[in-house]
Amino acid sequence: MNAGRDSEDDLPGGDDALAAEYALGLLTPEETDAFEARILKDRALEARVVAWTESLALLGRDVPAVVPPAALRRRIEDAAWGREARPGLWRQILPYGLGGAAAALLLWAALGLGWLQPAAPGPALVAELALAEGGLHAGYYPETRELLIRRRGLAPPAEGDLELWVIAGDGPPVSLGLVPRDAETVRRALPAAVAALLPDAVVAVSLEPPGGAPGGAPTGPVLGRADVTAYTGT
Amino acid sequence: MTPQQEIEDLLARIALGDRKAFSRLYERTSAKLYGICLRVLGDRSEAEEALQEAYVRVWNRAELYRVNGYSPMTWLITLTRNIAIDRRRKRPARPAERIDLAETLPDLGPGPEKQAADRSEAALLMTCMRTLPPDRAMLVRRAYLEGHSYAELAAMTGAKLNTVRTWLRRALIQLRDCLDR
Repeated sequence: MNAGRDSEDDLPGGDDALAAEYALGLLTPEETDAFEARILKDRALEARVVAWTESLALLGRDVPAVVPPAALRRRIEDAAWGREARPGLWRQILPYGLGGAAAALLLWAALGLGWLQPAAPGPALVAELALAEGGLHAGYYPETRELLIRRRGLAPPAEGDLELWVIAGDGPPVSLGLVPRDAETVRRALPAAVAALLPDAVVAVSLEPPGGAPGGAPTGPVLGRADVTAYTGT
Repeated sequence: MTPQQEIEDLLARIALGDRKAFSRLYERTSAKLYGICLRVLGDRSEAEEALQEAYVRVWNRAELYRVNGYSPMTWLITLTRNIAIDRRRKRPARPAERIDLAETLPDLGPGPEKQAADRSEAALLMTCMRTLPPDRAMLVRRAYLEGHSYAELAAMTGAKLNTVRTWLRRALIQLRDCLDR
């Protein structure tokens, strides 16, 4: 606890105000880490952050628009697309002379089979878990320190929650948060110490009570595991 | 197609690598996002660098826009604001600007809002901001647009850190109550 700062109990507003402070970036690094660790497993708190982010973004909309210099557009496009021109996905399909629907179907198939590289790089690290009834994808984006978790054809459990864990070397499992229920995908900022565990680690998923394992360790059956690997675009 | 739907459609296509969609998104949104970078950074060349970083991230991360249920403009604005605030915080420390809270004028009106579909949300926020005492509304706005820490806000206002934190939390509670009505 920082000297001079009141404890949480003395401040008005509770968790909702705390979520707003997090969205505003007002928390100290220690408070941020603690908050992000809570968000991994607290869906209600996560929902408060989303609501505040939406509301606060309206303050951004109130800022007057200013047209950027014309030369900046070209620089930005060059930076985004890279200097060597690579044909876009549609250009790779068009030489086959297909109509719109057929081209779309071929594109869908080609992406699924990995024949075409999406032009945008994906996450830096990924783990693909295969469970009995479906799959889980985890992707890590280092520039925002965010973990994306996606259910692939996997229904949320009728009772309890699926929780992801990272196991680095001989260390104990550390929580990466709950698998989303209502949506198929969620992305959350990971505390720095947790993100640091990911390279070359193993990710596992266990079935836990609602809200996740009550302590810091898994209590339920492990339903799948996978190695964390560098994303290669396939 | 409403403006929000158009942006959503463009982002979906950008996620597939559609360069024309990226150019079109830039045409539609760059003035708003550049305005935010300028407001946060106060310097044209830094704002240009921040804007570039933002759009490169849009190109590389467009598939993320819908995750967590954010509306497309919120995703763009939040991403841009975060990049600009990060750059601002990495600058060498400048002497703290002094704020005289007693001098805060009430916010008389929102900027021109051209997107009719969003007008009601933005108008609601502005209405609610105006229910706050002007100096508290100013603190909220500055926290969002300048990324100050509580320590900096305390130094700038001459009030104790816990006092500023209590002020801001109360303002946020009031804002939330108004927005939820």
